[in-house]
Amino acid sequence: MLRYAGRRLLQAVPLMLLVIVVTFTIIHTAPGDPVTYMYAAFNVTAEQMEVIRNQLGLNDPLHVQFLRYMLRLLRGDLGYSHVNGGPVLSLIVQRLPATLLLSLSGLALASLGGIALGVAAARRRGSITDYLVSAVSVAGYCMPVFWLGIVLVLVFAIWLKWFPSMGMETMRQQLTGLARLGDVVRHLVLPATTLGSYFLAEYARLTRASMLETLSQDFIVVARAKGLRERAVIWRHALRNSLLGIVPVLGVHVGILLVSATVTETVFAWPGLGRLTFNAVLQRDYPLLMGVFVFVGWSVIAANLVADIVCAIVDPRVRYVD
Amino acid sequence: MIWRRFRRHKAGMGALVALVLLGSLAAFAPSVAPYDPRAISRSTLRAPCASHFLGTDNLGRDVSSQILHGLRVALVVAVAAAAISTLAGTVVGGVAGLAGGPVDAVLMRFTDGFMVIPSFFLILLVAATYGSSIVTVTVMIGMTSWPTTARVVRMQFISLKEREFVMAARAQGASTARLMLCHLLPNALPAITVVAALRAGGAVLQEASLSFLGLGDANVVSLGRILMSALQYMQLAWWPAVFPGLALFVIVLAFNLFSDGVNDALNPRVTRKACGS
Repeated sequence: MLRYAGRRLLQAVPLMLLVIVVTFTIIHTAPGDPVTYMYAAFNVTAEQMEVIRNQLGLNDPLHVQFLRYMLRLLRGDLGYSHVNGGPVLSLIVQRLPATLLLSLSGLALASLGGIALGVAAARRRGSITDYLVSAVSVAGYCMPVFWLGIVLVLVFAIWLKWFPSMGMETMRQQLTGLARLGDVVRHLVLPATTLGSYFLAEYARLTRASMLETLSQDFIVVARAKGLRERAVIWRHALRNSLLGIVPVLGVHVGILLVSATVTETVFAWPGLGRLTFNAVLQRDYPLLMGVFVFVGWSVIAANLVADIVCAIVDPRVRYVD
Repeated sequence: MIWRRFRRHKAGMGALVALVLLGSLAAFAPSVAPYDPRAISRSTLRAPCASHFLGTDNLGRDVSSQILHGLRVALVVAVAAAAISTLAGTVVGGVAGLAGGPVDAVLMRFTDGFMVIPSFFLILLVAATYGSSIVTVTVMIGMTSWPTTARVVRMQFISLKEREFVMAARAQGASTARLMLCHLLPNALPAITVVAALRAGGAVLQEASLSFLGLGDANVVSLGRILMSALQYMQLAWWPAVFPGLALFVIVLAFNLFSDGVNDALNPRVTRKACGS
């Protein structure tokens, strides 16, 4: 087991390096330079711009800049944002909780709902329930995430006025304790639903398929034959075994999750990493962009690694495949 | 044979008809659209009515005309990106499947590594730094989505190359290129179509998301960008926020259902979909 984990970890290292190299190359070979972009609006002479470029080390050869970046990265220093001057790492860390809150609530909604729908569909294969669940999951799969967000805002925030349409908290009053928690939850409902929709569809589909396969196996027949209640057969025996099939795709999902989060945060003005990325792109804040993309790339690699290892723990056969 | 089974697949046929319809609407958009999609007029934010049946936006542009032209862009991106991704995937997967051994191992490791890369963020990064012309965006979407195709083609080739007709062709002295192009590829084509249609749908979503984030090509009418600007005045007008998204949804749905239809026609007994595909 440890050997398998170690090997997978070793395979991940070159990928993590590759993420840095690719991101660095793309950003630093891009046409146009950030200094011109930053100071174009101000009254800055060409010589002054040259001084700033020298200060930021932008005139050094690419490999020198890269080495400098790597050395600082090893010390946990991701550089400073060009636009607001703060350290990139703390900007990312500041925004992370909001994104985690949004993503985890979305995922929780999606897995609870998706698994329930999938089980319901598999129990009565070919029924109207099954048909409806399939329809919902196809729809969730094809729906542009941001459009779903827009429609939810229109219906539930603008027309029905049940939920606020943007932000994470009400800015006008300072709430504390339970009142603040309630306020955040009210703000969370629509974005979390938006973010979760794709995953709800995916989990419903996967659970249904996996349950159908499990339910046709011998041990289920035995469980029923020895007189177990249907509820115990479905939830204790079949579902537990079916969930195994879902674990491998969770790693891939983190990548999709981050994309959905970026788009969802843009619709709802949610103050998370996605907004940060969006602003960094608009303002050409290169150090911040670099930091965000390395962070995203590493998270996805780490998620895949964890999913693979969890897979190997719950299903010993995986360890011997390669 | 596959066509006969596909014709009986209702959703798949419906999707094909829808795609043909959407395609012709897009092709003739300039003559079908009632207005110039960029023409600014004084009747701003008009609700759907007789002269503007999907209403107008904040600059008085006709929403239905914008959608028709946006449809055009969406479909061109979908087809071109899917073509690039299919071509790249078929070459990598085909070579890996046919060659086997160390070539296969190296190519598949590369493919697996590529799959882990968060492709949308890579496209976002390139679009943000190198500019986001529609060509750049399309090529990037195509170049980052080939791994699934490569895997499918490889599996197809591996199972096909042991069949008798391929052995017979090989015994007759057919060259590797001939084997690949004349014997293996035509038989793998339906399976490739299944993935290609999914890719096309995915490309539409990616382009729309990119435009929605303000990183699409500013010189073309894009459904994602209409939605982005509609977000600003949603309190006043719902129509520019609803209809373009509906159009996107229909396009993606059509590609997905078409893919499902071909898949079901291909494997009539298998009703269970492959996980994570």
